Amino acid sequence: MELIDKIGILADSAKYDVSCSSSGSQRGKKDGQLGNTALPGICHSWSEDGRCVSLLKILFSNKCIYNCAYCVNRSSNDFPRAELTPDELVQVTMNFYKRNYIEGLFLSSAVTVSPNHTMELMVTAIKKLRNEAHFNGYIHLKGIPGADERLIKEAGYLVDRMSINLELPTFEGLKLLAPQKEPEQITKPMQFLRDEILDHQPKGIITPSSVRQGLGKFVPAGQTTQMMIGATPDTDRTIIRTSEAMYRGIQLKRVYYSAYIPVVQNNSLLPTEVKTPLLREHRLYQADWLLRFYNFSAEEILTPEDPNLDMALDPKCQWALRNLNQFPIEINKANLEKLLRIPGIGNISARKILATRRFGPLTFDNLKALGVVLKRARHFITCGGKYCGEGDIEAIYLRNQLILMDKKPTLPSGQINFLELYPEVFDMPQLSKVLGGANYVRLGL
Amino acid sequence: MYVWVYDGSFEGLLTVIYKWFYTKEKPRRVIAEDFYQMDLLLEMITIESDSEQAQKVTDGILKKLGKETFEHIVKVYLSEDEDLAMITIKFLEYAFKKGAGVISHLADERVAPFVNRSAAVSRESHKLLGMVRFMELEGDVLYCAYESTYSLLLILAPHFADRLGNQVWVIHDIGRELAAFYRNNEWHIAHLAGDFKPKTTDLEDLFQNLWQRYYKHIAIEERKNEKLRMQNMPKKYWKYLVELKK
Repeated sequence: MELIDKIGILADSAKYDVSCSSSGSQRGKKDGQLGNTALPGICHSWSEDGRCVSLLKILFSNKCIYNCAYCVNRSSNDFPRAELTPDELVQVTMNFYKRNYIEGLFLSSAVTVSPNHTMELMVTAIKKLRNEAHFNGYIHLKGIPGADERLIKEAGYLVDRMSINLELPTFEGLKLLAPQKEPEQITKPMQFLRDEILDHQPKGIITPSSVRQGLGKFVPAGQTTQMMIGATPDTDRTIIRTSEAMYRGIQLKRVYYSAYIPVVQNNSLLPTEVKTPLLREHRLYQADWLLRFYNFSAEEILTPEDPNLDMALDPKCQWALRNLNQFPIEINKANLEKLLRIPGIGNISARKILATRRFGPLTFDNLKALGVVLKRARHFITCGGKYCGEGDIEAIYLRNQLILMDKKPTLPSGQINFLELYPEVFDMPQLSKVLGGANYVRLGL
Repeated sequence: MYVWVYDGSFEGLLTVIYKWFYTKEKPRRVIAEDFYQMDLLLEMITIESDSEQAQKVTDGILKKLGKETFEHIVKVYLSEDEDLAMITIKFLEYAFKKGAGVISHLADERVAPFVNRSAAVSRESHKLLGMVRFMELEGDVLYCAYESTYSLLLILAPHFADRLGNQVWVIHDIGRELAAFYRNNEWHIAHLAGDFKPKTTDLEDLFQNLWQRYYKHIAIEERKNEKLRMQNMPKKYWKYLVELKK
């Protein structure tokens, strides 16, 4: 088979893995090597589905011995099969990287022959890439459930990020749809990775520079996972509680959600109809953000009485409507945590407000000038004691107002760039090096 | 009433900044010669670039306001905005009075235009760090052509000097007919004609085809979202993208 056909087949097999992020690692150039990594990650392209393409996301092999009901690569699926050689993988990665098509490699694989055999192949390829081809760019490696810890550990020293997929939000779901995978085969290596990552982290007081330099030599960009939603009847509350456990307990960097979209297939285990799968996925990502960046707990986001997210409203609005006694919030007094609880105010706006109000109290018009989006927020804030919404702070009234303005929720992808979240983290580190002193004269400018 | 006209170089900008702070009678406007239009009400004074004064200003800014402020000034300069000199001077007047912290005072009319120009340059440069494409030319040289709204070579070059440090490369700003040339840890910028026609290696087609195939297959059919793609990757950048070449 020609290499080009393999690339097409193995990209097809890999594309349902959501993650493509290249963030979390900062490594400068090394002599004689190709590449570096950028802390916020860099997107290189966007595919026709609007998702960012940052890494060469590809399977090593899609010849799977398992038959998980939800997976395109399941052994019973009539589907073209291919497998790369380590040399082919190295050649393609190096040449794509040199041309600036990609930020690095995201290597995964179907389980071919056995978990250990698969993991061994992947580690061999990555070793070649690092040690023989001298590739210093980003690598995200998928851990194969059931592979020896020895192999996982060896890989951990070679890559930036590792992920082992949860596959489904509950063990029950896993038993039903992926009976050949033992839940412990997934959770044990996740715990193992967490412990190893912690062991390799710099000890003592964490400072920004120790984080930058010393994230550790072991999986410096941390661990992530992915689960499919909508293939099992789990509620959003179950899902978000699972994610919370992943963040707090296993210290994952990201949990990715992938909406199950029914395709024609004869399998009574899978639902034949799923309502608005992409919208649900989008709402779950929003809830996930509340966990990660807004200091919400799963219990706050979803209650036992209301275990599913409202598709018409974003989760922060939902929370706010349940907790109207905490509003309105005074823009000139609230601390960061409080500001972040205001619907429509994100990290960027909250930080802008904090930075600017040191120079004097902010009015509603000041907020507009800062670029704070107020269409939701104005119902929940006061500026210098003045309420900025119309009418009353009353749940039903507000809900209608908020839904009216948000008739058609837009669907961004799950690939939100770190830069968009924290632009202040991103600066051009080398610029001053080049421009210090009289260098600009030499540059002919 | 005066208008100061400088040559449009970075050194020229620094020179007018220097003069501004050492001249009692401030001009009404400061503008690069490319943007200057005769104005009967304002008397034109040409300001010659002076590298000594430029150096003094650089040192002063670095010492009093730090390298972050200096980077903002560079980025505002790279925005090539017609009013960049006045925007920079107004900001510096405020910053020298109150300290570098005023950069956070985004509601202030001296700060907002300055920060906005700098942020716009940062945004486009971040986009292009990912979206420029290299091709392999005969003689083991990587060549990259691009067009951008702002002048970005000074940002792209150091990035790729780090990233493609063991390669030899040329990054070509087609619109401005300038290119950064890199080898052995050193780069410089020089003129390169916009109609330069590179000669690629035999292998180049292979990898371009591989990348096109990959790009086509990585999209999920059921999730097609043209609007989102366009939003992330505006059409004005498509011309040089290998994956979108017909």
